[in-house]
Amino acid sequence: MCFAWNTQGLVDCSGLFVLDQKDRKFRTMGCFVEDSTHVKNWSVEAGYGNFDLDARWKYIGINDLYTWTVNFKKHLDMGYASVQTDYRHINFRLDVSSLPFYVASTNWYTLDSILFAGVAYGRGEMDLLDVKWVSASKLSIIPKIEGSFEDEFHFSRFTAGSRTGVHTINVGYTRGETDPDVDRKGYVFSDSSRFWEIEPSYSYNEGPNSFSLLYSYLNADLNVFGLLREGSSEKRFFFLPVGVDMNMVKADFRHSTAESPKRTSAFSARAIYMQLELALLWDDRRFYETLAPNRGLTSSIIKTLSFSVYNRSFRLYGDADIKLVDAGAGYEWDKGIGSWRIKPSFFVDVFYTNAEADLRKRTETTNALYAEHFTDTLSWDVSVVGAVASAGVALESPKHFFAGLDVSQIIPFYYSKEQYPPQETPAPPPPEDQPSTEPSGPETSEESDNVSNVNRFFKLFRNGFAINAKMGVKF
Amino acid sequence: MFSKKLVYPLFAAALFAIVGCSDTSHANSAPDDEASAENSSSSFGLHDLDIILGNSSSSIIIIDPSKGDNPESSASEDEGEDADKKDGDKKDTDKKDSTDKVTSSSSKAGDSGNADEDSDEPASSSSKTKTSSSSEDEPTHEIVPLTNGKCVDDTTSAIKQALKKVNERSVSMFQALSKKDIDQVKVSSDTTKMMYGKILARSPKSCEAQVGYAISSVMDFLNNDLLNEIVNAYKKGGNAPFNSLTDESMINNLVQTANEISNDKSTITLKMQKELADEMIPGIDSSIIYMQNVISVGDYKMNVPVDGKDREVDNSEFQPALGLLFAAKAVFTMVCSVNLEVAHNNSYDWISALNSINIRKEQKISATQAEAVKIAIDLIKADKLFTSVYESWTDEWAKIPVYLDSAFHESRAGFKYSISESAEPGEQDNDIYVVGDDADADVSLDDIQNMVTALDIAIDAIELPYKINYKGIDAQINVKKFFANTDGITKFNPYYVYTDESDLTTFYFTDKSGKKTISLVDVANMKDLDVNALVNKVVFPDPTFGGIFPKFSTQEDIWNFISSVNDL
Repeated sequence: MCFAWNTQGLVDCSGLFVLDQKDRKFRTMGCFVEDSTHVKNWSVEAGYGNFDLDARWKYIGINDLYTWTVNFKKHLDMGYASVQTDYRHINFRLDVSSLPFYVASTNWYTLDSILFAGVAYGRGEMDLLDVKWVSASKLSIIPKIEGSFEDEFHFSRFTAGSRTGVHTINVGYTRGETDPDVDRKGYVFSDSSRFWEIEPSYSYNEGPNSFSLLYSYLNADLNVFGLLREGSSEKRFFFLPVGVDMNMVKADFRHSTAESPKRTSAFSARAIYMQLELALLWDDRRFYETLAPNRGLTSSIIKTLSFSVYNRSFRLYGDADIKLVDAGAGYEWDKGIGSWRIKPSFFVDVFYTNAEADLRKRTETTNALYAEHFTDTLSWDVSVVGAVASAGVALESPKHFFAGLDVSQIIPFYYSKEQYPPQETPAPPPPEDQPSTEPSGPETSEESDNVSNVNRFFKLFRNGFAINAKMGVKF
Repeated sequence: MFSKKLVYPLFAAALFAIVGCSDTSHANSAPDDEASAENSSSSFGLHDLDIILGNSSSSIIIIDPSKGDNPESSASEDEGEDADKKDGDKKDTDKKDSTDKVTSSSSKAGDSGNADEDSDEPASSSSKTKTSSSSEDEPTHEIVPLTNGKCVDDTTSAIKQALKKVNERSVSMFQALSKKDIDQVKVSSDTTKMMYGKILARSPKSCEAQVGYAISSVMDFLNNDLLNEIVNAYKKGGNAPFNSLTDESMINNLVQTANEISNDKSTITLKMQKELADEMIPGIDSSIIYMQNVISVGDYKMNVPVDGKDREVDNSEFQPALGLLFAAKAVFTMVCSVNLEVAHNNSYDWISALNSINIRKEQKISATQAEAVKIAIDLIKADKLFTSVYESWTDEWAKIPVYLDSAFHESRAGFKYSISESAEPGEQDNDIYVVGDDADADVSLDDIQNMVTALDIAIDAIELPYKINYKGIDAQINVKKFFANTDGITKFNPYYVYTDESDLTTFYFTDKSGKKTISLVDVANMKDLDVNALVNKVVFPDPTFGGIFPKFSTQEDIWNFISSVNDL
């Protein structure tokens, strides 16, 4: 009895540092270690990953009462494993992660792949974000809102396609839903949403040339909400219904310049058009305000009386439209140094993006015998033209070892922003008051200081910078 | 026939033809009332109301039911008062007689709907109501009828239409209040009160009109001449915000305001007490009776269109509102009952001089400051009348616990009502606040129950000697004893002695025998409250303070209590 087997171990780390400014921050980092083994018609993969997200937005209002900072953080340690078995016309696969989440899938195909189809079903819990909202006001009645965003997610995916010679067409359809996860106490964020996506694609492979064209349409209805759960009571203080329409077309072209099929020297080019439409839907139901701060107060006599004395809530509605056009080209070399291979590469994208938002913020104020509302218009029109320059290098030993490093940097050429109402610059506080005007608390300012003190060189890469490093062995 | 190579690209092209998909269900809509104009009801005037009510003359003058039976005398309040009223005995007016029967409706078991039998009650004013039919041309005076007893919903179309308009108009009063537009509140409350008065004159038992009149009467306090005079005088003092009573600029401004309002005939203290006794307490009494009439219906609900939606007001609002009225009556009665006069020769200047003394420094003080100290000492001497209850107000003073008890009982009943409503689906749809444990509610049952529990404690504290056991405080308090005392609180002062009013270092606290224990300067210089340094040195003659703290038997008990309160 004999059987062939091979295995591969990989360590892959990525970092995305989109924004790191005084009032705004967004960065993610993640690493995973993976090992996979193939034995006969079975393949098994297992891995461990961790993921960090850190985002912050400080809103500066007309005074401390209207100034706040919201932090989104997530540290995720996750183990995962998958097992797949392949047969003559069918395969089965099960992916399990410690979220917990599982996906069961199967694919059917003819031997010549003139027809193939697949179906997958996934279900699990998503513990997405830790949310912390802190007011700049020192009023003790205003609570610090600290909670997690969690939901239960399930989806089904169907694919079907055909390959004839150099042509392949494929259609994927995915639909899914989320249900709120409401076990926790305190401040809880969750959603009750549904989405579907269709994804037809076409690809052409002939000799050194390959071309693919993909279209994707996503339709989603999101109902995001925040609850305060105390004892046997739960109160909805946040509700945001969002309709999402996304259209995307992506074209890729690759021309191999290698003399041997074992080498990967190639010219590649791509173009993307994406349009994302967001509709913040008007909902006039009582208890379905976008934000109802009174209901977000923790239990107290003041909270109870506030509904008769001063109850203020907000409803946000309107549309936002984000467009992205991107086109880029690059080249990857495959050079030999002795028996090692070194693969330097570069890629340059030029992009144009425009984001328009036309929103209304309706402020509703009530007390015992009085109610009124007024509506503010909030609009933004932001355009950016720029480039994303990427460079990388990969190294492969003659037999078992490989490693790679890629870095990308956004380089904006043009930026315009129109905003209504115009952004007001708050008057600078007196010098002696400045230390107390940091509502984000000591931890955020401390972090910021650390970043700037550790190495000023890296400050250059704190905005619009991405890095990926990987290393592995294979047998 | 198409070549096979072309079929796939064409098929792919057909799929891509749907580029630009969008879901029309995501098309946004806007609220119907987004372009809502200003409330048109705000232009609704007295003349319009007369037309609706069918009044033949728009010159009907509405007289407040609390102002007596003579319209002419009511309209011309005599400003100056006899100088001899400064001694405080002037407060014995027949007004307070009319308040004797104002008690908690929730504590009057089974009396809902009872008409008060006493003939000299405010209710008797209903018999003096005049109708507008006396003359077509002559201005007519009408006293707003004030009747005890269940109100009823008047379904007469004219009254319904009038109430609808006036209710809408009353919303503008609260809008103005919310925007802190006090001038607008004054105008609005004055007119609104008159409008409800006109409706009451036509329909004396109308529930909605009684609620409206009760509320607008209280709001109309903002039109009080003396109150406005005081506010304007204070504003003239420049930017002296209301910070704290230790703020020197604010104290000086308050003193200046008090001096400006005071004159040879009367002081600001006496004027305020007279205003409260003659104007505000009767106004509160009328409002209490109207609110009791509404509550006595049992489960009266009133819908007011506010900002395009109906808002339902019911016992969960009426009863706490009545509770607030009782609380206001208790406070006003306290202020009226007690000799609070601190003026010296009708002037308050000495307070500024006293405030300018830095008691922590052992230094000689000026002659003006020494005079101020002398006045202060004279004021707090145990044999003086300061803080004592005016003889003519002793009966009212003794009823303050009853008023407070009513305030707490009514509020409690209101919150209990909202709990009971939460058990009935649909009962709270238009309520100002919705009680329940689910997400479609504003406050939880526990929140309301906590209010009820707090009020239970307050009721216990009023009705019985109440044991306080909270954050280290361990004491018993008998509120009724406080209101049983009419001699003032100066008799509870600790023992002290001094030899020279112009030298603060000569001021000493003593023990009962008169032996000096600790100087005033030493006490003032303590950075923190040091109970050990004060016990048996600042000695109070009666540890129970006249039975208010019945369990205190030693000086240690007093100082331990003070220390616990200080540590809160």
